[in-house]
Order: sequence, then C-alpha cells, then structure tokens
Amino acid sequence: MRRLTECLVLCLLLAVSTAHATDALVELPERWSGTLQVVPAAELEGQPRDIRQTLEEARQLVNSALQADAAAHDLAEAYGELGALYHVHLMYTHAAHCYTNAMALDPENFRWAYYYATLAQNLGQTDVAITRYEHARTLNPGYKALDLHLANAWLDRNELDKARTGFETTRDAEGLEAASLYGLGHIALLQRDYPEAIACFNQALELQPMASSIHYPLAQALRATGDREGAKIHLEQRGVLEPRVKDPQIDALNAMKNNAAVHYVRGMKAVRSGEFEVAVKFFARGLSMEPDNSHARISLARALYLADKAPAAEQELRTVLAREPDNVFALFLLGLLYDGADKHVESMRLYQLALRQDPGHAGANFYLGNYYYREGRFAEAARHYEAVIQVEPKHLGAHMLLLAAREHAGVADSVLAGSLRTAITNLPEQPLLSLRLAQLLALSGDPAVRDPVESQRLATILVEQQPQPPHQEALALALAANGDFEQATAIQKALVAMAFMSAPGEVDRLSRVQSRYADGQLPSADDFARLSAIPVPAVDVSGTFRNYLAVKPY
Amino acid sequence: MNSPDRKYEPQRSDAVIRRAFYRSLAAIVILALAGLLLFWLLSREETGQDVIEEAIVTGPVTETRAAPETPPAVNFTDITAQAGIDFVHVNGAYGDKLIPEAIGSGAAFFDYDNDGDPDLLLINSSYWPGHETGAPALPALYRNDGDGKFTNVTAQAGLATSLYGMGVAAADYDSDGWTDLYITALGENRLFRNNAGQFTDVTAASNTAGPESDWSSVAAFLDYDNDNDLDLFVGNYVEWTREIDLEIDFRVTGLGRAIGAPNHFTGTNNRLYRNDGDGRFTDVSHAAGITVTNPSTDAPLGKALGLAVFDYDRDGRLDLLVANDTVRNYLFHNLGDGRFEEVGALEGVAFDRNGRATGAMGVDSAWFRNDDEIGVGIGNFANEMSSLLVTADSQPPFVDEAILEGIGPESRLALTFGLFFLDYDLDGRLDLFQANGHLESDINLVQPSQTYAQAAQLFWNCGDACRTRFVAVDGIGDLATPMVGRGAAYADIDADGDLDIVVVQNGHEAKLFRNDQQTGHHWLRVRLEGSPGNRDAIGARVELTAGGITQRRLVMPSRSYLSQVELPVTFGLGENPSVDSLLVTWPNGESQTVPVERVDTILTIRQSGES
Repeated sequence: MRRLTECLVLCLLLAVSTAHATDALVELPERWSGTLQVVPAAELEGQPRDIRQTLEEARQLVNSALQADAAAHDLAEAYGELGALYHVHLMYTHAAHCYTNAMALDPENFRWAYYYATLAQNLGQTDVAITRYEHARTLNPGYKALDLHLANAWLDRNELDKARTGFETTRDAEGLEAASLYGLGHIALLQRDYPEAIACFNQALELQPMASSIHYPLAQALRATGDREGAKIHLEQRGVLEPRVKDPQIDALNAMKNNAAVHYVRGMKAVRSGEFEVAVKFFARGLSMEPDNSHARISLARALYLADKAPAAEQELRTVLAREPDNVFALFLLGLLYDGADKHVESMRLYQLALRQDPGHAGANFYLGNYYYREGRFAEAARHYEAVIQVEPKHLGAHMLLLAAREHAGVADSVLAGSLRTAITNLPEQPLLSLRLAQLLALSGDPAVRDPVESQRLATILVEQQPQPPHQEALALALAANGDFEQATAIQKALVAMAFMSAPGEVDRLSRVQSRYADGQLPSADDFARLSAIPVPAVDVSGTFRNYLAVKPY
Repeated sequence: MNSPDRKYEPQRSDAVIRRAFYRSLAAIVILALAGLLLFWLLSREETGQDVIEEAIVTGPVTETRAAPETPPAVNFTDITAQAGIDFVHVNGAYGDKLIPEAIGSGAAFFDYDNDGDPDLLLINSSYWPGHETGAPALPALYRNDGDGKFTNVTAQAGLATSLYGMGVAAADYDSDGWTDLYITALGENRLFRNNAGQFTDVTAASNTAGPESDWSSVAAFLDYDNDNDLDLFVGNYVEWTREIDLEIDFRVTGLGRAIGAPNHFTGTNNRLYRNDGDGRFTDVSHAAGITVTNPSTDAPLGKALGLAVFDYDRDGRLDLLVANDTVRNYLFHNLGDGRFEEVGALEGVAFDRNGRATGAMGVDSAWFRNDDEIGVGIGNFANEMSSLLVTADSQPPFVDEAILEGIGPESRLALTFGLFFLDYDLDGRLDLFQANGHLESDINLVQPSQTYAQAAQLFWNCGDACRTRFVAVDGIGDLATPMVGRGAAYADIDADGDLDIVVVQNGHEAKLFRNDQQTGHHWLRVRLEGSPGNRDAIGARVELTAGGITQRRLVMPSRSYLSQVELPVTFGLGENPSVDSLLVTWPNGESQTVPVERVDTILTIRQSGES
C-alpha cells in the first residue's frame, strides 16, 4: 500500500513537472489550438547571453500566460512583445507568428498590426506590406508615419501617382517633412524631372542636413543636368543616413534592441498596473546591464517609493545626483520626498536647486509655492504659482492657489479680477472661477472693477448650466447689485428655506444676506466664500511619484 | 378476305408514312442545321482572327500568338538527364559554413572542338582538405554531339584538374583558332590552352595564376588597349582564409553559425593582365588604374562577383563595370592610353537609389529598348531589387529604372546570381533571365519570405505596349522549379534558332533547359570571325535592322555570373521574313555592311568581308 502511494506521488510529481516543462507556444492549450499559430522555439546558440536571456524570458511570459489561461488582451500583449523582440533580432519567421497571434487576440490593437506591416516591408514583401498598412490605418487613421511608409511601398511598387499622393499628404506632418520630400525627389528622379528632383532633395537636406543618403540621388540629378562639379561635391558627402522619421511606434520597437530597455518597458507596465515590487525588479535588472542610465535609475527610485521603500528610493536619487548634481528631475523628486517627510529646509533647498537649472519646472514651482503659502508668504507663493501656469496654463491647482494667495495678500480687486479672467480663459469648465468673478464684480469697491451687468451675465449662465444654491445666490447678488432687490430677496428667501439641512452657520449667513436685500442694501463681501478659504493640498508624494510625467523614463 | 393484319393496314400505312415523313423531316432539319453550321464555320474562317480563337478551341496549336501585352506561352524543358549531363557541383561543405561554399560556380558555352555547335563546361569547386568524402571533384566538359546529347570529355580533353573553381572565361587568346579557357579559383587560377581540342595547363608560362592568396571570381577576355589581342581581366572577391572565416564567426539569430556576410571581410583588388602576344601576360593592374582602396582604411575596397564589358560612352573603347558585393560597384572608364578611371559613383552605377551599396552579383548589359540607350542589369541580394541602370540621351549618368520598367518589385525577394538578357521568344526584343538561390539552407526558419532553393525568373520585354516594359512570365516550364541557382549561360544547343539555358546549382546538379518556344518567329544568328589576334571578334558590335527596328548586340561572351555565353549573337525577327540591313563594327573600328539573303539561319561573317 505504501509502495503504491509512493508510486502515485511520483507520478503526480512527474505530471506536474512535465506540465511546467511544456512549451505552450508549441503545444497550444486546447482553447487556442484552432486560433493561434505555433511559435517554434528559436535556435539561440552563440548569441550573447543577454539576448538569449531576454528572448527566453519573454517566451516564458507567453508560456505562463497561456498556461494560466490569461485574458485575451494580456496574452496579446505577451505575444506582441515577444514578436517585437524577435523582430528586432531579425528572427522574422518567429516574429510573424507572434504578431499574427497578437492580432488574433486583440484585433483592434494598432501597434501589432503596424509592426506586422513593417515586418512585411522589412522582408521585401511589398504587396503584403501595402495590404497590412492599409489595414493598420483603419485602426489609427491619424498616424501619419504609416502614410509615409505606405507611400514608400507604393513607390517600390511603381505606383508613382499613389506614392506621390502619399508623400504630399505627409509633407506637412511634423517630423515627416524631410522624408516626404526625399520620396518626392525620388519620383522626380525616376521621371527624369531633374529640376524638381534637385529642388526636393535640397529642401530635404535643409531640413535634415545630417540625412547623408540624400546626397547621392541629388548628385545623380545634378550630374544629369551636366553639373558634374556639383555632383562631385554631393558624392563626397554621400552617406547612408536616411531622413529621420518621427515614428514613436518604430522608436519603441527599435528600443527593444536595447536589452535593458526591454526590462524598462516591462517596469513601466508594472507601474501602470500598480505592481511596484515587480517594477522594481525590472528596473533593477535593466540597470544591471547599464548602470549609468540615470533616467532608468530615477524610475527605479519612483518604483521603490511606491513599493514602500522610501529609504531605498532616496538612496537611488542620491546616486543619480552624485553623478549628475544638476539633474533637475532627481532634485525635484528628492525634494518632494523630503517635503513629504517634513524635512522642509532640505526640500526647499532642493526645489530651488532644481529651479536654478530649470526656472520653469512645474513641479518644483508648485510645491515651493505650497510651502510659501503655508508659511504665509503669499506674494512669493503667488510668484511660483504663476511660473507653473506659464508652462501648464491648465493647471487648476496653480490657478486656484494663485487666486487664494492673492486674496490672502490683499491685492487690489483689479489684480484679482485679472487673475480670475485669465484662469477662466484657461479653464472655462471650472464654475467656481466664474462664481468668484461674479461676486467680485458685484461687490468691488473699485469702480473700475465693479460691473453688475457682467456679474449678472456670468451668474445667469452659471444658473442655466447648474442651478445649484451657490449659483442661485450669485444671481441674487448680481440682481441686487443691479438694483433689483425684490428679485434678489425672493431668491435668497428660497435659498434660506432650502438650507435647513445645511450647517447651522450657513442658515444664519443666508438669512443675513436676505435681510440686507430686504433693506435694499448689498451684503458685505465677508458674507461670501473666498478662494482664500481653499486649503493648500498636502504634499502628495505617492501621487507625484506615480503620475508625474517623465520626459525620458529610461 | 379480311385478315387481322390487313384490317389495320391503312392505319399502319398512315403511321408508317407519318413516321417516314417525320424521319425525313428530321433528316432534312439535321442536314439543314449541319449546313448552317458549316456555313457559319466557313464564314468565320475567312475573318482570320476568329481562326485563331477557333484553332485554340478546336484543334492543336502549331503556332502561339499572344495579345501584344501578354507574354507568349513558352516552355523550357529540363533535358539534363536525357542530354547526358550528370554534373553535380561539389562545394565541400562539411558543417563549418565557410563562405566559399556558397559562392560557386559558373558555366561556359563555347565550341571547344570547332565543330560548329556549343559545348558546355561546368566549373566545380572541391572538398576541403581533410574532409574529402569522394573522388576529387573535377570540372566537366561536355561535347555537344549535335543530336540533343552531350558526352563528358573532360579527361580526354585534358581538363581533369581539381581546384576550388569559381568562374570561367573562354576565348582564343593566342589566336590559333581554338578557344582557350581561364578558370578562376580560390587560390591560383588556371589558363588552359586549347590545341585542337586538347587543353594544356599553361598557367605558369602565361603568368596569369595570380597569388595563392587571391580568391578570384569573374574573368573576361577583352582587348582593352585596342592592340588586337585579347587581354584578361580577373575579378577578385574578398580576402579569405579559413582562419579568418572562423574567427569572424558570423551568426544569424535563430540559425547559429551562418555563411559569412562579405561586409565582415576585407576587400581585394582586381587584376588586369595585358596580353604580350607571346603566350605571356603582364599584370598591369596598378598601372592601369584599376586598384581602388578605401580612403579611410587604405585597404582594397572591391569584392567583385560580376563583370560587364561594354562601351558605355560610345568612344570606341571597352569599359568595365564591376559588380561588387556590399560595396559600391565600379565603372572603369577606359581612357584609351592603357589606363582606366573609376567613375561608378559619378555615372550612377555604384549604388542603389538611396545611395547604398547592394549585394551585387550577376550583371549584363544590352540595348534592350532597341534604341541608343544602353541598360545594365544587376542581380542583387535578397530583399534588394535587381538594378536596371539606363542611360538617357545616349549618355550617362545611369538612372536605376528597375521600378519603372517592372523588374524592381518582382525581383525584390529573390537572391539573384546569374542574370542575362536574351530574346527567348525571338520577337526582336531582349528579355531578361535571372537565376536565383539563397546562401542558407535553413533561411526559411527565420525569414518566412525566403527559401534556399528559388525559382528562376524570366521577364518578357513587352516593348511599349504594356504599362511596364518587362512583364514577369508565369509559365516557364521546368525553369520554375526552385533551384540553388548560381552561374547561368545561354546558347542554341540544338540549332533551332532559339536560346537554351544552363543553370549551375551550388552543391547540387547543374540543369540544362531546352527552349521549346513555338512562336514561329524568324531569327538570324551571326557568328563573327575577326582578324588575327582577335579571331572571335570580341568587342564587335552587330546592328540588325528589320521592319524598321534596329537591334544591337555586342560580341562579348562574359556575362551573367562567373559564366560565359556562346559567341554567336542571336537576333529575333518576329514576323519579319527578311532583314533590312546588317552592320558590323569590328573591334578595330572598321564597319562592314553585310547583305542578308535569308533568315532562320546562322550567318558567319569574316572581317575580310567574305560571308
């Protein structure tokens, strides 16, 4: 009996180990066997260890996802990333299988469809590339780089009219101008319209002098017009750098060649999905390959903080600053970290160092502004909030706190009104700003500012949009400012009646105002809420570490 | 007396009559219909065009006539076995994937025994030392027996020499009336002098071996200095040794070790041997200006695999276009004083349209538009279009018109080695043939668009009737069978006027394809006998005008990849039953107009004017 049990356990272990050793990309689970293509294992012998490791890990991710019966979208991501790795390492057959699977699992995903089209173009399958580009375009019609590649495919196909149309379409697209002119120049050269070819190539060179491949066809065109010397000058500058194309998708694909970048990409994904511990591992692995990558180290620091490892995050930021004392982003984030730990002297110093390098840095200005605000240094606070608004005109917090700081600072109504108008222009969807302006225009003691008619206009719009009590009250105030106390009283009375569930002080306030209207007088400005009542938000280190957009995350 | 039978007689009679009437009526109707049908058939026959359709529908076709925009149906039949060709190329591969294993080899059609028909020489490579798995690999000389069969005469002809052969050039360098051979190799090359069908190795005496370190590829005999003897140009590939190859250890992700890419190897210089007239040659490479170095490294730049010899600027001197693999192609402009000037980049032949060097291999030149513009076709690597470089206004620069002329997109995927122009359907317009095949046997594992063996391609020259001049031909018979194609050459092996094709396969059997076209088109073949010194008239130009169209041919057997085509030039005449004029411009510049009394024959023209 015991022997039988042992045998059964052995068999079970064997089965388990066999299951784990199964390559699900080759032996597809039954659920997918009719839908997905087999992706054979690749021969990687002789390849550098980091390439082998990267490919094997990516393949294992797909394997795990298949065996765990992952959702179609997640499986598509895994296949797509594996395909991209195969693609950049020139294993096109494997890449094709992976992209096909990714597209089957996630048909609306532009990225895989686009890469699949690019793959065909890389392989010289021009007709196939055209078909795939056209399909990908249905998923993202606005992606102009695609139109450029399609135009080049048409050119290769001797469909010169279609190619010309394509290049003309992309000619004015940012980052595609030189490449478009290059294509148009080639068409002209083919048609032996040498003056047109010369003009196009020259324009392309002006836009991108480093695109050395332009020199050769330009030399050909010049030579054809008899300008041998001109041709020779350009032949001497001939190179192989084609005009750069602004193509973020292909940039991301090419970045996969950098094996460290593969880990960074995974790290970023893990951050987005809230798996901070996992993100830490990926960033750390990438940094083990390229330890001097400051951008990636900062991203590691952010992931560490979010994974509740603040001391480690601090250390990583210090490591960056030891090599690059002027790294603005590292200065800001370290300052923020100290700010959150109430080490204000240190944090202020760091913010100011960051601003010395980049006076317009939004984050440093905002948090420095907050510090001054809390310290009652409103004028200084206002200055920093203005700096934020300069670079981020739609920053709501900066606008609100600027107004609040100005109110605290007792600035003239004209200054306040100007700030409010600027804020409303940038943030028309924020009713609080219009509400405050309506109040100011109704109650200002400055005749240059006071404008009851405009006040009533603003208040009327607010009520029409949202007839909530504060907007109703603003209308009542505006009516009163225009001399219609009767109407104002009626509205205020109704608000008093509705306020029975509000805080006790609120009923008193509303009643007080009503009395003033009944007496044919305007209420005091103190009877209305001011923006200065808005509290300064607490330092949100976690939120900032998670959401602040890095220009270059790795 | 009434009997039962007699009782029904009247009815029966009526029925009989009725039946008879109906039968006769039916017969009349049938006859009438048949008559109508006959009338209809006869009247259709008179309109001519209908006869063509009817012929297709009702009877066997004796002539194939296609619409102007459609390639004619032409079959190339693999007659290798029935012709007695049993050559298998030995590349010596044993597992280390050394680059020479993938490059060979070439073929030559030439009349070694002067019996008037083209014989066939197939070049062989060999086993690597220490890795022999059979008898020494030898080239194979097949005598054309004139009845569709070939006989292996290698040993008796004195060519049973084992070497790591690459290409071949065939010409009568000593002007004794017998065509000699120069075989290029990895290591020393060999010059074989032909004496009445017997070859003797005269390499040492001729001073044409080249260093043991050279890896020679393409070769051509030509009179570069116009002194009426044939000099020798030899193209060299890369600096190679087994140790270098293994050290580079070229790998393809997904395949492991692979055939080395040439850009990992240092280039070499080509050699030009001047014929001194006494059986010896002098290496004048440096003095002639054909050595090219990389200005950055001071090392030789070239990696020659193909050669086109032609007069691109019509100054009466033969120039040289060298197709280099992964570095710029050369165009050596003959200056006339024994020197050349390399002008490839300036004249537009060096790079592709984006200014990149291609993996250039086979090459041929021709007046494929039957006008003054000369075109050069170059076969390139996989995922590179073949080049079709064409002059304008009879002058350089060349512009690559492969896309415009319909070759580019169709040729992009293929890895092209052998390439030549030929008029396969004898319609008077030169078509284009490409022999294809990859280097890596497992390439499909990592590149789904590629295979090791690839079908040859035939592009029919449509003239001006089609949207693009060249139209890929779908039905080419056995030529469509995937091959590991390398050298390719053409000749009229069966004296029926059309051109047949041989393709050498790397590491596999060579293939001989008979052209079975049935277009009914007329033709004229011209064989030239030049003056002493250049009896083959290599470098002569023949211009034939028929139906108002002038075709031009250059007598230059060195074409394609590592190969030689037959010496006679072939003109397709289409429907024209006669020739308006025939003009020969001999290598020394003399012109000779020759009357042509009949077509569908081979015309031998001697420079003395007798034909």
